[in-house]
Amino acid sequence: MTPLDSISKKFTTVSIEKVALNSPLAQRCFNVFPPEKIEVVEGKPTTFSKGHMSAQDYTLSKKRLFLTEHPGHFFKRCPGAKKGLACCNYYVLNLGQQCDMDCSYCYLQSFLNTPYTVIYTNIDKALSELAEMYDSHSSSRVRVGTGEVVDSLSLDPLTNYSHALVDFFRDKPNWNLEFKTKSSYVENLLAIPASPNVIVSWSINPQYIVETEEHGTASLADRLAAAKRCLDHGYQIAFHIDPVIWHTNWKQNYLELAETIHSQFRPQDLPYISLGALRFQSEQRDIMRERFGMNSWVTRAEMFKSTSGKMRYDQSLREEMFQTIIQKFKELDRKWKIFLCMETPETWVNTTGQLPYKQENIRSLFKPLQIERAETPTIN
Amino acid sequence: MRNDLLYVWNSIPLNPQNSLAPKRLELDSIDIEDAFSVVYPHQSFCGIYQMLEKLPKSLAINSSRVYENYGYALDSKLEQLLTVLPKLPSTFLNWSAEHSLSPRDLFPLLSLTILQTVDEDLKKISSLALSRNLGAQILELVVECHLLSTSEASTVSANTGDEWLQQLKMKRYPQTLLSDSEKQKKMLALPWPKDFQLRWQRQGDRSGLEIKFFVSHEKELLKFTHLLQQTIQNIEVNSNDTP
Repeated sequence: MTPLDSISKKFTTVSIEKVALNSPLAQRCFNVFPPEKIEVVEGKPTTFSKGHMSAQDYTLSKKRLFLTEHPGHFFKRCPGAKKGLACCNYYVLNLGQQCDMDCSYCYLQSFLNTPYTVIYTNIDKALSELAEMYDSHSSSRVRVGTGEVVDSLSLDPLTNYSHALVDFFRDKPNWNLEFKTKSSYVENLLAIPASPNVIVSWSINPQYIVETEEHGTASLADRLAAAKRCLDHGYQIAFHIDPVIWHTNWKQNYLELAETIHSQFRPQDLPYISLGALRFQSEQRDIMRERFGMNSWVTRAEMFKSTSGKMRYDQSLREEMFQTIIQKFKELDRKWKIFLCMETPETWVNTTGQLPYKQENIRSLFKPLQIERAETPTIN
Repeated sequence: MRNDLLYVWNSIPLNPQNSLAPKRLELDSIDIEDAFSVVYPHQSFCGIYQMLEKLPKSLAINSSRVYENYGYALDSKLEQLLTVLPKLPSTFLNWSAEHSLSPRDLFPLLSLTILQTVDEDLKKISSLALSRNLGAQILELVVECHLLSTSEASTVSANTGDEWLQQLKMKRYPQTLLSDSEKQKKMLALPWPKDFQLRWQRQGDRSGLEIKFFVSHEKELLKFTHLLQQTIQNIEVNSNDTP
């Protein structure tokens, strides 16, 4: 089955808003999906869902595709940029909403309120917004990611947005673009010349966690193989071991993961590896319980409300998990660069001995940066 | 609602509990959906549900509008909750209405496929007359423990809400509580001066020792720092002695 066949099978309906009808993406949809699945709508598609989605509505939202134009700003600040967390200056470019994969811990379950998967067709507007921002901040080092509210690459066989984005960043060396994915679709990226400031990154976890918690995602082996192909093609690559999930064999599985990465990649191949422990908003517990029961390491996890309001593992457990993984990487090669994602300064100090701003090899990632239009993401 | 008034809409008493009240107030000039807000200006989600259930079925009431008047827009999630409420014990519904439980407090019940499995627990929540906060915490833990198949999560041995909460926490967070207990033992075994008051505490995602020392002037503060330094030295000596 080709990637496009798989995408066509995944969605039961494709609604295209009239204003988006002439977009190249809409035209591609007419070629990919059977006509009986496609409807042209004025405004939003009709669904039975009202207001806050039920668990069932949320599951259905992954099967309904909606193409429309985005009326607001595409470029926003990462949700990690909050008081009390050490932030790594990450900005997000939202080219849609919802993900076609189904991780049990996904924060979108408490974040999204649209009963369909949205892809914005006006990428040209997103690029003009980026260009405007670049004009006033061309000398600053900015990292822009596209994988916060959608997976950056899982629907790329359909959208082909990666081409436009890579081309846009090609002549902007101070700015980095990061694709973040759990898929293994990299053919589009391999079909064009790489740009050294484009990072293709994978959220990774031991295969056991992929199987139990990351439903519909590529296997660990496929993700690592895709990363190797991107690296060989000339892209930068990165790994996010995030979320680290406690389970009975966590130590062995995460140590093996570190060994697997070390056996296939060298520290100089990756600008960094980020680590983050399982975390979610407390209101997310209800929908996760409804959708996955308690037969999940995520729903049955022993989590407590942290000062930031999110549910987290006990701080000592987080520190133990981080220390175990970091120590293993450092044993394998001291040159591995690892940082903690969305963690408190206390955890940084207890785990690594220092705040990120004081660590030579990752300091540059955490240098504070001011961009006026940076906002906390909101969903319309 | 005034206790000396019987509110009536098209001859239907809206607060029948006041049927002997000396005065009547006719509300025929407004829609029945709005009449409820005059009689009962504040109602919880369960309270509205119970209020509507008591009315004659022949009345064609737009219940969504009634919920909306109280600030609850009936979205998919709340509609789902409304399908669950009729299956709950009436004593629990009364308790939920009296304690103004929010829909969010009740959402854990949506995870259960067979609600009857928690019937006894729900009855016990109401019979123990728990506060809203304690009852909501217990409700969520009861549901989770049932889903984890620790059916003995059920109430039997608990006589008070606090006792029950502790029992449920032991079942829901066994590893954390074990690790807390080990850390607590280790920390309390350190050579603390007798002037310090020590208490092990969990604060969200952290647990640790709260150290109290009462100071009424600067000299006592100096004494406190001196004692603390001594304690640190003793800890260092002890850890150096450990092979």
